[in-house]
This record gives sequence, structure tokens and C-alpha cells, in this order.
Amino acid sequence: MKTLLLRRWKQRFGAWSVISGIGAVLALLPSLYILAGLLGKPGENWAHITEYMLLDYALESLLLTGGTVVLASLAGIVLAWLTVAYDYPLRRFFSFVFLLPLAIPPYIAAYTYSSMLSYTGSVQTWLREMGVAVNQNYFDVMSMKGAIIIFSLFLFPYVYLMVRSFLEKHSASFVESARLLGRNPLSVFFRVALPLSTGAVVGGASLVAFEVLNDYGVSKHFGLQTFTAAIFKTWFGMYDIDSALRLAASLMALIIGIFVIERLLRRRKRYHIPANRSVPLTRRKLKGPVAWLAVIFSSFIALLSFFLPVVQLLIWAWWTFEDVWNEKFVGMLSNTLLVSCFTVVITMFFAVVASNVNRQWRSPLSLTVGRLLSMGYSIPGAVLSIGVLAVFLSVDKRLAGVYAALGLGHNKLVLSMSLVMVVFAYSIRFLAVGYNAMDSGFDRIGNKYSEASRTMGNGMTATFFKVDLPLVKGAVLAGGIMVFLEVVKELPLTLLLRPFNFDTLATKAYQYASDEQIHQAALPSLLIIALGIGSVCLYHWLGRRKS
Amino acid sequence: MAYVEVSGLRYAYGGGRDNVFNGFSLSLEKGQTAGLLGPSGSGKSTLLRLLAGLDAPLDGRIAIGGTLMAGGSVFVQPERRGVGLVFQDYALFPHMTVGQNVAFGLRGMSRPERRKVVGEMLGMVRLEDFAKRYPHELSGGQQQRAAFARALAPRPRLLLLDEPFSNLDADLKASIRRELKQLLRQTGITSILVTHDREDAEAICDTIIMMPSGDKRETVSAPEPAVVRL
Amino acid sequence: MRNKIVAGVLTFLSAAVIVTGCGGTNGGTKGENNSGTNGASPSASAEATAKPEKSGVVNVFTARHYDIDFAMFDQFEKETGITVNEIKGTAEELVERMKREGESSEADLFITVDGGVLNYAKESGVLQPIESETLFSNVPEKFRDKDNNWVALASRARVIVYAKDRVKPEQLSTYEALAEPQWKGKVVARSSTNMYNQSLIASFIELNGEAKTEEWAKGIVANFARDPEGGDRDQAKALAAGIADVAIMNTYYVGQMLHSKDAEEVKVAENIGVFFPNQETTGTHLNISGIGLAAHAKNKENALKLAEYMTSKEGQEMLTNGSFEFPVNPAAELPQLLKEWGQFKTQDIQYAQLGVNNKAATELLNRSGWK
Repeated sequence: MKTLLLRRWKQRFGAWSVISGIGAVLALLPSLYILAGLLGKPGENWAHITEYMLLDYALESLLLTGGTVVLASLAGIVLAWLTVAYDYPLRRFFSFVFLLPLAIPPYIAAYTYSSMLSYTGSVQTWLREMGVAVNQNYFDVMSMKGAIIIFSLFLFPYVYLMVRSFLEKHSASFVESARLLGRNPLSVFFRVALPLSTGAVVGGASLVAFEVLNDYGVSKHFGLQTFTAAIFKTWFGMYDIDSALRLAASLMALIIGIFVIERLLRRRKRYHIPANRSVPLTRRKLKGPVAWLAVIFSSFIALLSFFLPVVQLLIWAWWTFEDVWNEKFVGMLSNTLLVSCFTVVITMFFAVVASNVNRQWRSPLSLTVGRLLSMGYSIPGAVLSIGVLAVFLSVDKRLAGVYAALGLGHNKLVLSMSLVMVVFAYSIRFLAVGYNAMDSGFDRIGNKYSEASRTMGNGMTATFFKVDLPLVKGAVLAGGIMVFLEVVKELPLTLLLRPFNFDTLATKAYQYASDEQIHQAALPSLLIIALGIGSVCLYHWLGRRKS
Repeated sequence: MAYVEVSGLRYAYGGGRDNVFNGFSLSLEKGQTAGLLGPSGSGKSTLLRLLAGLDAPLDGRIAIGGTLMAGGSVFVQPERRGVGLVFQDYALFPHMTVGQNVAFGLRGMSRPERRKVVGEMLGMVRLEDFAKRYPHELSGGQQQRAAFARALAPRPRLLLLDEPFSNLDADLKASIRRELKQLLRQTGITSILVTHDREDAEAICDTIIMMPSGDKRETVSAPEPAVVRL
Repeated sequence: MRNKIVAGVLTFLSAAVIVTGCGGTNGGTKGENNSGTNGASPSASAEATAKPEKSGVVNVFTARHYDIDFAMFDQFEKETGITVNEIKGTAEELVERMKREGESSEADLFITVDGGVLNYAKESGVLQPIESETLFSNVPEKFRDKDNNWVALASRARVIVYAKDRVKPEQLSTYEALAEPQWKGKVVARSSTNMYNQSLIASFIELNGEAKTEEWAKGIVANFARDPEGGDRDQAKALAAGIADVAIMNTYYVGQMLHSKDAEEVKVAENIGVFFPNQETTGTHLNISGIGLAAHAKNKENALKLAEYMTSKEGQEMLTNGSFEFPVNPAAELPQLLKEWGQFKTQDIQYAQLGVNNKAATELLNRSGWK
């Protein structure tokens, strides 16, 4: 018996598994700290909050999230079906353009639109010049309605991507069978394509939900009292970390609720749809007025979700270039890139290790490790910050002796408020992105190559470098690009955890906008968008190359 | 005028230069079962897709049951052709029961009528007790029979079968072959069967069309198909 | 093969160490110079670790992000040769940092908006008493902390602005009156999460007590034309757009909008009038921006010099013409616009109270439904 266990141990617990396990433990720490914090007595503010504010926060967050999920899913599904099943003028162009809103963080879109549509903004001014009387009710962007629309316009690509990918890879035979059985295209959509895509829709919709719950910039700018906005307010406005922690825990409860719902929705589907056929779905060519309708609709979405805000930002950047561009700005740019690259390296390292371990053993333990590592994505940045800060503060306290010995002074906080903390937090939050990419990458190549290599006498590491890596480098790249993009766009976590006087493009844009200097925010915003577009293009090109 | 008339068919993948068919012709009488035999890559499945209307030929005519389906400026959409196609992976809708799958192609009928037809079809393939089951609960052979029933239910003019036996193991093949042949005779339906296995073709088909392999692709024409008596 | 892993882990660990070091250079936990004048840094960084008093540096922790402040720093550098390093952040961040760093903090001056925040800094023990005759003569006593831990730099009034074409000044009198039924659906203000409003309410609590203030808050919320959204400038735009007739706003925004590069903003500002409420009763609410001397300032002399400059006639005139706040130095000449507004009666309270009452004010605002 003991020898059996020992053998198992030797088989399972090589360096790879250990690293993977360490990663999971590290990723879990912040959440544990948050939970531990709940065990103490609540502060006096908490009573006030629970009585007057908690319900409002919950309702506001739920309404915002729910509304966005519905609208974004609608847009994503319709556009995915449109670009997969049909052919019309400029379709290829539009299929790509629908990805681009991912390059524009919602908070930047929020500033841009609210300013554009404000009384002194370009739109209303132009209308007044045209002699049109403006009904202010249509232009009240800074509201729940406005926020839902803006979130949907810039988050629908998550649903679009997932549904489109599913339809392209898995639906061809079903759709064609349905057509051959005499159904018109609309009927095919509602009775076959849509029901089959529910898995993809739920996947994309949960990504949208997590993005909305994580957001701080839009809620702050529009004055919405969401959970994340409340956490910021309590932490900074009322100097009450304890209550902030409890709010964070409440938000976590909400998130777990979403997880449960997602699981339930996915469980009902007891069947598994295999990828069928290398021949993609044949498109149905649209002709005449219907084709034009498709073009107009697509243009409308593309305009609103990309071209309009970008053009407005370009104009503002042109106006304010001299004011904003200085050596500090370059420093900020390099900060952003520095932090992103570090995060990409660390994240992809753990992602590769963990998913490789998982696909080798497929044991419950490795699956759990994978899940723990991916958990960070669903934890809103504000919540994660509290946990990470708590972890680092306690580490610093314990290492105080070491610091003193190294001559760094007493009561010094070295690790907290340093880049290490920020990168650590980023890595936890975005590890899921890398992990998912690696998971699909390894899935695609299967185990046979690495197993062949192992039987020929190569250990796990040698096999990885000689056999696996060349095969999955596309996935590593894709994962790395997505992590990079996420870090560049990230706001709430950066605001809370950054070292002093450390600005990224995102925090700079946020600061200008909160100081009511929206036009100055254009330049950093555009740089973020440029980096985003670059990433999206690279990702798209990589995807095309693979297939 | 044959029941299925294909003449002067030209097709290349993606509209490119590499012609899969160049001047291909085919004719089939009503009620006949033809086998398309050839190695993979010879364009057999492509021909099925062209007949079904899932792809459009670059040149030539396709007429089925006296109606022009493709040719000149005419192109009839797949949902209007009345052509049934059983895919290699059956493509049974996983979110519908077997009964709902079979009923899917029945339009313009009242509910009791539809139920009657479904019952008949399921009876013909001996799946009467499986109407309420889901496809993933069925074995491979059962799924195939369900796929047949679904394709036959709307009484198509032409039935196309793409490698129907490739997913089955040897013993199952033999019995399914017999069943299929009987089904086709019973319904009297005109059909084309694509396979790479000569034995399958000989067991079921009235006529066999040999599709030449890759390098002989230039002119694929078989006006007088080699006939193998069964 | 195992070696590769060891190598990888070692690289990773060393990277982490390097990053911590880098976190120092960028973030300032090690206390070098950052941002601002990169040109002067080589000499300055050497001196920062040498004898502080002889160096030409002053480190300013500022929560004010106005361009005019930086212009003043530049001017000060030109005139004295002392380099000004600004570390920007929110007031809370900065105070927190000063607290944590304690004796090793390199902050010399702390500049922020709002009397309550200045008081919070004092209570947190991060400031020390200022001793400077020049400063005392520049800044009248009512604008100084009673223990001289901070002095005010400028002030702003939170007033009632009104749409000139729809409202006559005669219709306005007090803040309290805005809660009356005749203004139903005609009032707009920004969110209660904003410090300016919180201090306004804190001042009311001080003068009128919590109960009356809460009643007033509920009344004004009932009169809102829309839920609070946007900043102060957006309230002015709402007046121009006809959404409401009166709003609560800081005086300097009016000045800034009238001199804005955006022609539309100027138009909006031209159509609103400024009214100083409570002239017959408790006075208009005034709030201050101020400078505090950091408790462990290493460049105390230079810090005082900068503070003296900013409160001197020259500095104050530069400031008021740039930001349209009211100067605290009586010798400074006002810009035309401020002259037109003339003298007005202000609330007679200790600015420290704005901070002391902040928690009560925030909770009151929450209870009254002011979003």
C-alpha cells in the first residue's frame, strides 16, 4: 500500500505539479484574507451601510449587470448569426470591426459619449447650429439607461466572439440539415442555431457580467451606486477598510450566485456537441434591399461602437496634444508597458504549467487547481485589491526584521505599495485568460504527441520544450496577447494598489476625466485603444493562421 | 428526360482554378439507387452538396424531377429543392427528441397528421419506442436509422446519403445495409449513395458511378455508367 | 531538465527582486526624485540623500491637480532655483502614505482642497506647526489652523447659480429656501459623494444642527429636477439646457467656464448668474484649500519658502487669475470678475469642523436620499 502511494506521489508530484500548486495557493490567499476579515466584529459604519445603502447597492448592481447582459447578448447573437450564416457586401470587414470595441475600455467610452452628447458637446452644438430644438431627455446619457447602452455597445464582442466561434465550428451540419428539411432561414435560426448556441451565449454573457461588476470608471462618472463604487467610497471616503471588506464579501456572494446560475444553465444541456466538419457553413447570399438592410445595420453598430468615439477622441487629442504630451507622459507609457509585460510573463508561466499538469493527469486535484487559478477573473478588481493588500501588509510585517537588518529602516513597507504587489494582483486576476487559452491549445493537440515522447524516455520538462511548446506556441501567444490587453485596460485594481506617483495610461485618463478635463483624457485613451487594436489584430491574425 | 439530369457541370473549390468537375454529366431514372464510388478527394461529397443546393456550380445544369434547380440564371435554394441529405455524422438535432427530429421537415400539416407520419416513419426504421428519447441516448445504429427517418419523412424527390456506413462497425454494417436496401425499395425513392467501399455499393445500388481519382480530375464524365447487376 | 526548472524559478525570483527595486524608483518608497523636473534630477538625487538643508529641493504632496499650481511651482523654481517635486494623489492616499512612512517620509509640504481634509491630516499627526512671520502676515488668522499646522492658500464659495432668463435674483435668499415647494423640479446639484457637498452639509450641521439640516436635505432632494449626475460644470449646463432653473456650484467654476477655450462653455457661463445666499442670516459657505508643513519635513526651509511664495501677493495674484479662487492674502488684487461679485458675508465656523462633521454629514446625506 505504501509503495503504491509512493509511486503515485512520484508520478504526480514532480516540479510541474508543485509549481502549479504554489500558484493556486498564492491565488487563493487574498480571498482567504477577505473571508478571515469577516470574522471580526463589524465597524460602526457597517450598521449604517446595511440599513440604508446595502439594498440600493445590490439593486443598482443587479439592474446594471442584468440590463447589460440582456442587451449585449442580443447584439452579440444577432451579429454572430448575421456574419456566419449570410454573405453581404463588406461582411468580412464588419466581422472584424465587431471585435474592435474590445480595444476600448467602457470607462473611456463613457467619458467620451457623455461629453459628446452633453449640452456643450459636439452633437448638441451641431444640432443647435442646424436649428433643431433638442429634447434633453434623449441626451441624458449619465444614467442607468445610458450606462447599460454603453456597456452593451462595448462588451457585446464577448458574446459575439463566443457565439460566432461556436457557429462556425459546430453548427454547419445542423443548419444545413435544417435548411434541407425545408425551413426558411429565420426558422432555422430560432429552432436550431439559437438553441444549440445557448452554451456559447451563457459563456459570453458571464464574461460580460463580470466586466460590469468589476467596473469602477463608468459607475463613478455616471454617479451609479454600484458595489464597486461603494467599496471605493467606503475605503477612501470614509477611511473604513473594514466596511469596505464586508461590501467586498457581499459582492463575492453575488458573484457566486452568478456562477451557480451559469452552472445550472449549462448542466441542463446533457449532450455534447462535437466539432463537425472542416467545411464551414455555406453562407446564404443576401440580395437587394435585405442586403442593404444588413449593411446599414452593421454600419450603425460599427459606427457607434467604434468609429464615432475614436474619431471624437482623435479630435480632442489634436486639440490638447501640447498640453498633455510631455516627458512624464512617456514615463507613463513605459510604466504601462513594463507592468503589462511582467504580468504576461508571470501569468503565462503559471497558465502553461497548470494547464499542462491538468491535461496530463486530469485528476480532480489538478482540475481544482485550474479552477482556483482561474477564479481571479470573476473577482472584481476592487475586492481583489483589498485581499492582496492585506496579504502583502502582513508579509511586510513579518519581514520587518529582515528589512531592518538590510538597513532599509524600521516599519518599512517594501513589498506593499511596490510594483510586486500590483503585478501579483494583475496575475491573479488575469490568469484565467491565459489558462483558458492554454487549455484550448492543449485540447487541440491532444495527449498523443507528449505521451509518445514520454515513452521514448523524455521527462515532462524535456517533452514540453521539445514537443508541446512548438505545437502550442500559438495558444501561448494568443493567451499572452489577451492578458496584455486586459492589463493595459485595467482600472480599479490599478487605482487602488499602485505605488505612489505611478500612473498608467488608464489611471491618467481616469484622473483627467474626474478632474473634468475630458479633452485632455483623449490622448492617453487613444494610446490604450491603439494598443488594444494592435492586440486584437494580432489575435485575429493568429486565429486565422491556425485554421 | 431522366429524373435526375446533370449536364456540363463545372465546379472548383472557392471559385478557384482547380476544377473538381469539368463537364461532368449524370442521369438517373426515377426510383433508381445510384452509388458514387471513389477514393476520398474525388469530389463525391461535393457533388452531393451541389445537388442539394448547398453549393452552386460554376457552369452546367442540374434538374431534378423535371424542375431546373441550377443552370443559366436559375438557382433554387436548398430549402425549396425537396432534396434530402443524410450527413456522415447524421446531424440529429441534439436538443430535440427523436420524434421532434423526424417531424422537423413536415410543414403544412395538422398536428394529428404529423403525428401519424412520424409514427409511420419510426415504424419503418423500427424505432417506434424511441420517439421521446434524445439522440445522445441512442446507439450509433439507432441514430443512423433516426437520421434516415428524418430525411425520408417529407417525401423528398431525391435522397442523398453521404458515407452512411463509415461510422459503423462491421457486423452492424451488414444488417444496416440490408435494412437500407429494403427501405429504399419500399419507399421507391430515387437516391444517390456516396461511399468508398465497393461492397457497400454493390450490396445496395442499382448502378454504380466510378469517380476517378485526383489526377484524372479533368474530365469527369460518365454518360454510360458501368452497370453492375445485383 | 530539472536544471531548466531551477533556472526558471531562480530567474523568476530575481525578476521579482528587481521589480521590487523598480517599484522603488518609480513609486518612491525609496525616496528618490520622481516626475516633474527630470533634467535637474541627477544632482538633486545625490543631494537628497546628503545634507537636506543645503539642497535646492522641496517635495510637495499635493491633492490639487490644477494647472495653475504647477505654473506657480515653475515660477518659484525660476525665481529661487529650488526644484519643486510634486507627488500627486488623492488626499487620502497622500495622508495614508505619510502616516505609514512616518519618520522616513520625504514629504515636505502637503497641499489639499477642503478644510476638513486639512483637519484630518492634522489629526493623523502628519503635520507640524508652522513658524513663519511672513506666512502669518500673508494669511489672516481666520484662514489658519488654530495650532498653525496649516494655512489656507485660497478659498471658494459654494453658491446658488441661476438661469438668468428665468430667475431673478430677488427670488433667491437662502440655501434653506431652496427646499421650499416653489422650487419643486427646478433644482439640480451634483452627487452627495462629492466632498464639496459633504462639507456644505457639515457646515449646516455645525450652524443649524443635524435635525434641521436633515429636514432641509430631504426637502431639496424632493425638489431635484433629476437625480444628481455629473460635476459642477454639468449643473451649469443643465441650467442652460432648461432642465432646471437653479443649481449649487463653486464660484471658481464660473470663472473658469467664462474663460474656457470651449466657446460653448463660455456661452453657458454667460447665461448664468451668481447669487451669494444667506447674506442676512448665517452667511455663504466658504471652503479653503490649504498648505500644511509635513511633520518630518527634510527640507523645512525650502518648504516654508514655497509656502510663503504661494501666499505672497505675487503668488496669490497668479493663483486667483488662473483658477478664479478667492485669494487669502488681502494685499492681492482680484481679477475683474471677482471684483464684480464684491464682498459677501461668509459662514462663521472653524474649518476644522468641516472634517469633524464629515461622517455625520455623509450619513445624513445617505438617509435623506441624496444620491
